[in-house]
Amino acid sequence: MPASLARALLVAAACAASLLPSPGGAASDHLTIGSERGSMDFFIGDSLIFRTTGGFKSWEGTIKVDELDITKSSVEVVVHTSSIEMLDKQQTMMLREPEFFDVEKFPEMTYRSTAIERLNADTLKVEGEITLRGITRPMTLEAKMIDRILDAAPGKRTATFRAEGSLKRSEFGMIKYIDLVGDKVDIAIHTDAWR
Amino acid sequence: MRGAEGYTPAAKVLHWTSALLVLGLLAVGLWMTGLPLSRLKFVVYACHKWIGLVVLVLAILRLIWRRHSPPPALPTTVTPWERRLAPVGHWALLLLVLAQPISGWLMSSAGGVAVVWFGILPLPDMVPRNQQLFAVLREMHHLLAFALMAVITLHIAAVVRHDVLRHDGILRRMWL
Ligand code: HEM
Ligand code: HEM
Repeated sequence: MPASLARALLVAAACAASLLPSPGGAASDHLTIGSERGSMDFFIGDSLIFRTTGGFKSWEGTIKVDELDITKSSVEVVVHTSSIEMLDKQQTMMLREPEFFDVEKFPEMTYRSTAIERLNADTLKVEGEITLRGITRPMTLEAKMIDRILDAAPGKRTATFRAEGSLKRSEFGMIKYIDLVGDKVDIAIHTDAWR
Repeated sequence: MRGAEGYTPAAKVLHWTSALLVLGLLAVGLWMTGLPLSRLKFVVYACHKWIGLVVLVLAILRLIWRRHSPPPALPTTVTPWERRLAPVGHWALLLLVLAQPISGWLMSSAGGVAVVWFGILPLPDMVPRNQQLFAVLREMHHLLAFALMAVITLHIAAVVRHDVLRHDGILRRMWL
């Protein structure tokens, strides 16, 4: 068997045991995620009069991966609230106002994981805290790896994730039009991760 | 009572309900876009979409009914050029009344807003959310609305010409 193939198989076997790719078996790794190579969308208003969608255009995060003990891994994400965007300009402007994201006073929304648990081979349950409008509340994300590239060079994509979670906007004091548009907001993140 | 006499009761009901709804939607559509974002605007937009889709259903029913029971022959008082123009005008109206709500639905989907019909029935998105597509479809909905207003104006002018100026009983064929 050629040496390179044997090595590839070894690496594949090592990585199959853990969720995340690693460069030739390093125990821990720092990955970057963000709007540069990903999207963060939200959906609100299910089953009320309509369901509407928007997104954040500027955000970034880091994932600390512990290959040996996935529960020791962590995620941090910072979202620039003024980058919020709906396809309708009026709605985009409304969401920047004090009754909603209050982007002047709270330019950032942050997420920090507190515990990570493996659900199955390629799905993780991420428990964490989200801080929005100065209010911190727990929020759980389910992250699924959709693709990974073993041994990717620095700066190149090593994995692609999709993470989903939801929150109640009323818990963050965003109650305007709650009876019409609804309270629950679903969030979907689709991003590449790179070293 | 059919044939040269007039339209069937079903055709009349379909015509007059959609005529009233379309005139209402045109007026509401032109008014609502200028509203500031408010509770009223959300509700009016939702109603515009819901009722616009009712018009779509009525237009489809009408096309089906037309096959089953074609429009009555025009009276002999109608001149040859009018005889050729009338079906063209009616087809234009039928197609516009079909295209207008479809463009609205497409625009709404492209704009990232899924319609929940009368707050009960979630409708599928016709196209994915997309900024450029949304802009194009919005323009199309706008242009179709103006085409529709132009053809309706001609349509009403034609009816007035027949009935008020010539008393040839065209309105009676469609009147209830
Ligand atoms: C026969 C049916 C319909 C008629 C006659 C109609 C007519 C109109 C008119 C005249 C406008 C204003 C256009 C402008 O000022 O640019 C408008 C806007 C609009 N219509 Fe319709 N419409 C119909 C059906 C629908 C349907 C079925 C939907 C969606 C499911 C829809 C969604 C919209 C939206 C979202 C706008 C606002 C666009 C904006 O904010 O610029 N319409 N409609
Ligand atoms: C409100 C004023 C309106 C009046 C007075 C009116 C009157 C009439 C009359 C008298 C006819 C029968 C013509 C014939 O004898 O062949 C007719 C047919 C028709 N009208 Fe109107 N109409 C009005 C509005 C509308 C509107 C707003 C629409 C479009 C949405 C429309 C669409 C049609 C169509 C498609 C036909 C052909 C009927 C068919 O073949 O099913 N009308 N209208």
